[in-house]
Amino acid sequence: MDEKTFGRAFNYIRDAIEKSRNFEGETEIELGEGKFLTFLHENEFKKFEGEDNAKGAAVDGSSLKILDAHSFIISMRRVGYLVADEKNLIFRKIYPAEMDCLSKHEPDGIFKEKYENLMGCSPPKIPDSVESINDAIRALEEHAAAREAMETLEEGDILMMDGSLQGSEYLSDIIGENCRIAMEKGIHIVGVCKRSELYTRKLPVLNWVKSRGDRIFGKEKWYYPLSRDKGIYIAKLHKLSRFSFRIDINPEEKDIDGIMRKLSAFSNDVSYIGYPYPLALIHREVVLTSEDGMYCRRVLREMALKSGYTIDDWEEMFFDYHEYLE
Amino acid sequence: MKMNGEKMLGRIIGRNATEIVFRYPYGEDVKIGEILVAEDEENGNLFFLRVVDLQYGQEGSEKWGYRTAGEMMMLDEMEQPYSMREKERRLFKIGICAPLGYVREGRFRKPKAIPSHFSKVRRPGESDYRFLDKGEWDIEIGKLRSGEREVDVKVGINGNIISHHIGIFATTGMGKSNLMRVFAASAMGCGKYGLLIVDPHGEYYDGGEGMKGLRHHPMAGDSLVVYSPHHLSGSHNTLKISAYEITVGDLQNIFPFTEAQKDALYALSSRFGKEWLVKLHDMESEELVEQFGGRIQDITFGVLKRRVERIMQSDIIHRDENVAVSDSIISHLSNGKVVLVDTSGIYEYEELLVSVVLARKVLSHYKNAYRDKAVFGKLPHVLITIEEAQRVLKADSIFASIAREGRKFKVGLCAITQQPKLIKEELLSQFNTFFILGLADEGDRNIIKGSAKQDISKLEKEIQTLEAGEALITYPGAPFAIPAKIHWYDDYIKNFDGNFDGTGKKTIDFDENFY
Repeated sequence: MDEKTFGRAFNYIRDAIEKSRNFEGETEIELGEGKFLTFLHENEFKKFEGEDNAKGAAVDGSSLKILDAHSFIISMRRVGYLVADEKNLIFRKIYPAEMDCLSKHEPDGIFKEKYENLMGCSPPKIPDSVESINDAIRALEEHAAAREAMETLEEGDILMMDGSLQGSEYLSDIIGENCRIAMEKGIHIVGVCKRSELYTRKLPVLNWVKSRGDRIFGKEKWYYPLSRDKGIYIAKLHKLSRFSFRIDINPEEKDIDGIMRKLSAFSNDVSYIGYPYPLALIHREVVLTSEDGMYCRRVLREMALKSGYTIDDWEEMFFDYHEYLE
Repeated sequence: MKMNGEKMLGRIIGRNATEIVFRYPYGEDVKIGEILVAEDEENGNLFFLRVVDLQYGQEGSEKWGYRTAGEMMMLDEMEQPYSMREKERRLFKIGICAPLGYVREGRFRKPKAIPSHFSKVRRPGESDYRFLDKGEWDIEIGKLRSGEREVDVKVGINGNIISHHIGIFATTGMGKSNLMRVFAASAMGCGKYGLLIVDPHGEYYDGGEGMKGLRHHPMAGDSLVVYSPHHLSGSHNTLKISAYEITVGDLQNIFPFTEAQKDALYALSSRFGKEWLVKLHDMESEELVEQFGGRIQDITFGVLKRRVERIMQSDIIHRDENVAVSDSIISHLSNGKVVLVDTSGIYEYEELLVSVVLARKVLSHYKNAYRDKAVFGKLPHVLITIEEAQRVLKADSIFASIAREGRKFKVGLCAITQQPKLIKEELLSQFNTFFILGLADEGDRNIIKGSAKQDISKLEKEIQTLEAGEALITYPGAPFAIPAKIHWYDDYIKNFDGNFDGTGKKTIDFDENFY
């Protein structure tokens, strides 16, 4: 590669850095299911102080592609939730891992069935790839778990979802329904995103907010309303946290400071400073690792061999030249 | 969760036949040297494991640990409160164990198998140690120790192995004297073995300040015979060695001699027999030169006479051939008694001379008896103890001879030293039983590791961390290097329960089937 190639790449990076340093004004932010306009300005930052006593539930799930036969995949999912207060874990519920076969030719079957079971109607839209369906089923199961978790919560408690409450074109109705149920019970539902894909052209919005927030408030807790209408915020939940997170809040909520204080009460675990510890714990409980995948692959292959199929039959079905190359 | 009355401690993670690793809770306190058991539920074996090392464990990458410690430091500095939830699940500890063996159908077997995956690990209950108590030992030393914990299982050695020699190794203050006192007390109670203790520090008779000595033993009147060159508060005999019983070889154990001097000594011995020492002392150098036809120079006799002068001037040496205690000492040893020879307060060369003469005469007596099976069969095994053994365990000393050939004649050596590295490996390898107490020096630990009759290669850390009164006992018949907490002598004799047959007399049952 010559100097020009590197030069072009570097110019792009420089442009992005400059924008995140100096940008100010109105910009359009893209979400999965549309766009919204926001005004990025330092005056919008809000500092908050103190920590409330808090109790709440955290919900998370994990999915893993076990095998890919090109025309279908074998996937696995595990979902769970736990209930905790600001001091301790109260209880956890982890659903058994589920394994499904998702065919490219009839990809909507399982998603549709699960959606109908939860919502009593057909989904507004079906994801168009088996991988997306696998993720959508997991998200669907997380929201089903959230609904169950809400039954254990009381008024004033907080329900923490892993990921955004906005942007899913397949699940917006379910999320909306959960938000409605939560409001009825006085439960605050929030979605905390470990990684946010909020962006506007070359500007990484999260970075813009974080660097400005830290510059303005230093070692303080703050939040920035990216969209009050959609309930999208970016917040730093611990004074000394190096990270800030996108936090989606039920748009109907009025007391944003109060919710931030509750989240902050959960965010002083020394292992995850600035991130609600119940979400960290439930993540560790449900995560499916590559070892889990290897184990499942081995069990399935043994079942095939014990049933009289040969290793050649197996490899022809699941052969991937990338693995061969590596 | 309880198993055999004991709380479950952890689960085996894995590794191999020489090293077993298990996970245990963050809040649990396991010590190096602890003995644990792994219950193999799949085949009913009970594996015994000795903890040889401990490590930290965490669920998550090493980076997580670094990062969390960093966060804590930062928060401490900023005086910010923080907590860590679910510590018990996220943090744990790892015990590294040396497998000792396993018990199956009541029999202890060497560790040729490994426990099943994830076997439960717990502390053993007293009933788990039944295999140790097969009545095969009669000299009680202490109680089984697991880490720092004393287990109510008595441990000791079989007196019949004392003639296979014993090494007691410890840095000062780690409990050598107490161990020896307990050993002697147990031997006195048992009455089956002769024990000769040469005590250069005078610490065994009275015990010293605030401590009890052998004379306080409830059976001292019957089983203890004391010899001392000076007055003692209790009953004792005066220590006297006849000049006529000292051989040229004895002297060579004490003083270095040139080849010419050695030739002269042998010539004297050859010419004058057992009077050689007295003659060398009494005759003038010129006279001696003349006696040997001028073949030996007067300067040689001059040096020898100066050495002999020191000996003959000693209060423990008597010119009368018949004034000697060695025969009566041998007689007492042959009757299974403990003979304490107090050599405190005399010069080191005198102490060595006493030790050398007695050791030689005991070996000689047993060697002579060996020719007559009936007589020899009635003799008990006898043990000669030598303090600071590194001084005298030299290649051609009488003690080296006993180390090499004593076992054949039921004569054992008990070498007490804080510097085993100064003893030749070849001699150390003759010692079958080791009492290893705390040893600070790595060189000393290494030499012992190489000579022990059991694999103690993984016990480096345990030996390093032994506290006063704690010991490891190794001998060929032991299932493993036995960790022991040595009885505290004063307590031991207070609660002493001798081996009497109910008639007031000790039961003495010498080994007539030695051959």
